[in-house]
Amino acid sequence: MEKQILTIITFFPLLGAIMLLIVPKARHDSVKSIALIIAFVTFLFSIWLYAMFEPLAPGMQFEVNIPWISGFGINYHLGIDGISLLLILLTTVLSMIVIISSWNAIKTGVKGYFISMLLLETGMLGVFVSLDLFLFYVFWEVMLIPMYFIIGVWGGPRKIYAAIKFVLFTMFGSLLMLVAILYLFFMYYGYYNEYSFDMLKYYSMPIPLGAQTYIFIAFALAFAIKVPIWPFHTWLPDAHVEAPTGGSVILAGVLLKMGTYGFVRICLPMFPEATVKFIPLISILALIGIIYGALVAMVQRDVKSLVAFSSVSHLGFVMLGMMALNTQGLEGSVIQMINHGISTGALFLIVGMIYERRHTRMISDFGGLSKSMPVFSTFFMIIALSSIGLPLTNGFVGEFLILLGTFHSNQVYAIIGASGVVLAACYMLWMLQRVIFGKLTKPENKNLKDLDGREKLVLIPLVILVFWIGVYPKPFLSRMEPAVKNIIGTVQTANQANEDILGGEHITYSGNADSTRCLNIEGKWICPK
Amino acid sequence: MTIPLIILAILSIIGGWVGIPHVLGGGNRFEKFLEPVTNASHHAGEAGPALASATYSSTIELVLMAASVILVLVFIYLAYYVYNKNIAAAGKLRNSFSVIHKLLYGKYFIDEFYGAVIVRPVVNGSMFLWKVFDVIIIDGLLNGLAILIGDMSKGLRPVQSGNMRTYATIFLLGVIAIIGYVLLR
Repeated sequence: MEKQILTIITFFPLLGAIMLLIVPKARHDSVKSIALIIAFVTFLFSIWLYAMFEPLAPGMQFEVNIPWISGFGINYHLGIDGISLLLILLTTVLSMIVIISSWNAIKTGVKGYFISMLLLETGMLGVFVSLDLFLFYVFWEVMLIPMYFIIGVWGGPRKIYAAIKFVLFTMFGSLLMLVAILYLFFMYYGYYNEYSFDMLKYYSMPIPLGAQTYIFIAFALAFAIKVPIWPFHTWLPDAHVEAPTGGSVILAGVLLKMGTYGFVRICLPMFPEATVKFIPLISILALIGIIYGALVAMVQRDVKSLVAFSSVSHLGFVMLGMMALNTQGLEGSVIQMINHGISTGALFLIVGMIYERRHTRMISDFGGLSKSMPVFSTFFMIIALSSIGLPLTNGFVGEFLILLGTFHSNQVYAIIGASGVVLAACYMLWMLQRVIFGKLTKPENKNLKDLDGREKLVLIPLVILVFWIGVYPKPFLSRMEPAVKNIIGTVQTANQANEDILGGEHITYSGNADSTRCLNIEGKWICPK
Repeated sequence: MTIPLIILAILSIIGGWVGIPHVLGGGNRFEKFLEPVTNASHHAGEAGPALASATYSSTIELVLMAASVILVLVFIYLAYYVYNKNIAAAGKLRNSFSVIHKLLYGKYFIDEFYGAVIVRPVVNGSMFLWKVFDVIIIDGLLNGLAILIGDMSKGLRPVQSGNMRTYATIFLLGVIAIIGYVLLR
């Protein structure tokens, strides 16, 4: 059982989805209850996983590696390190919360909605546990289908446009990724005369610099669209705004992390030299994203699109920290992925709650809600402040580590990035001022019901996490530390080795050479004397 | 606002007792409060305050005390006179010092200055980024691409007429073209 824990966690929601298929359509309560129980048990499994995880051990844990399609070297290879562990926890927590939050919001096609949610959970968890690129790609694509239906069926007025835009953007990127995966596959065959899609084997494969650049671009584009890095972000506001509340929470909370996770799991360790080459470009795009996202968020009239654009800004921070390529930067980047899932997820839930009451999300339709809905306003305030990065909340820990790491590697980037923190306060506090403070002028807002028990149940776990990570992030940081050091180590050794070979005396060969000692640049082997 | 003001007034009286002037036989408890922390001022403090209290102490302290008390009393009376006794005087004052009044009344117009120099340009610039860059440029490019492909496909659509005879004719022409190419090569 313990050995198969990753398989159990990943496929338990799928099992639930199959169970839901045989429940009669009209039995809404049974459908919802079964979905909730499945999501809750999956969450319990992930807690068990967290408890069994060895915090100090380097390398992958709970590894499973059995042949799947052995003719092509495709294996069912699962395994996690500290980074995937945290993202798995985030996924199971948010999936459970989303199911509770959708209880009353989804009125039509209840069964289909909850089946889609459970399928989506399997897809997301699969991406985080896969160590085989083929398996990774399968889960990556599986995730798209339920999300397409969630936006396209249960979405807002422009749902079809948003759903198709979302799928086309992501498909464009993932097809490039597929080509790059195949290129790696044949390159591996060329070196070792063996078929394999194993990521861990690809880590140690020497890829010539020229080829590395092209493969890096293909993978990076796929991930950049998903993150989204500016200027590939325009699918995001449409998808987030049109999706139903639950869809927006999962989209912002977990799906965006697929992109950043892809960078950490694939781009950094597999193409270390190309990564270093692309640091300036990606950092600058991340900085543009931070400022651009914040500025555009500031002038939004719809609270939901404000939150959507703030995601562009926050994910810019995640990328900036990652590109610092040092321990603090990458740790901050990973913890900020979790933080963004918690805070932005909660913000979307809050927007959903107010939308269910008033059927509008326009900032100008509100004002003075703190008088009619004090509990709601308190939650809103706490979550908004955590999103800005107030000390003692989770956002502060992430942004601080990111800026610290960036400052070590490039002071100018850190200074420009820090201005994003100021702009975050601008858009968030200005919105809060217009929505929950001021005079209660609109008569429709006077008799709004405050949060009920279910809604509090949805928000309380997230608020606990906000303060837990904000006050005592050590349990999270210490679990990801070996993984982060591993990745940083891989990138640094690869680049150091290149410098050693190119810096000292060397001979150039055009034929074959010892790939462990030599460096392949543009088809020529360069070896130390 | 009354209750906070009362609390602050009481606290300000308590605060006044922290440092009683030397002339009145007191000592300033705050004077050396930070010395253990700021080492530099510790050394300077040996000579500084000791010297000052020796040379300037009584006269200057008395004059300063008297001046501030008198000033406060004068302004208390002025305020009382203008706002309680003779409200018309307030209007007169405003008219005779209209420029200063406007400046003070507008809080030196710092908010307006920020509004015009920082807030408005930033908001307008952001609107531009959103409405022009995001919606027109990026999405326009992508939607344009989609429309282009759609239009091109529209041009090709008549080929798929469903008419078997047309298909057969085109098929035949193709076969002839290929045979012709092979023979004449």
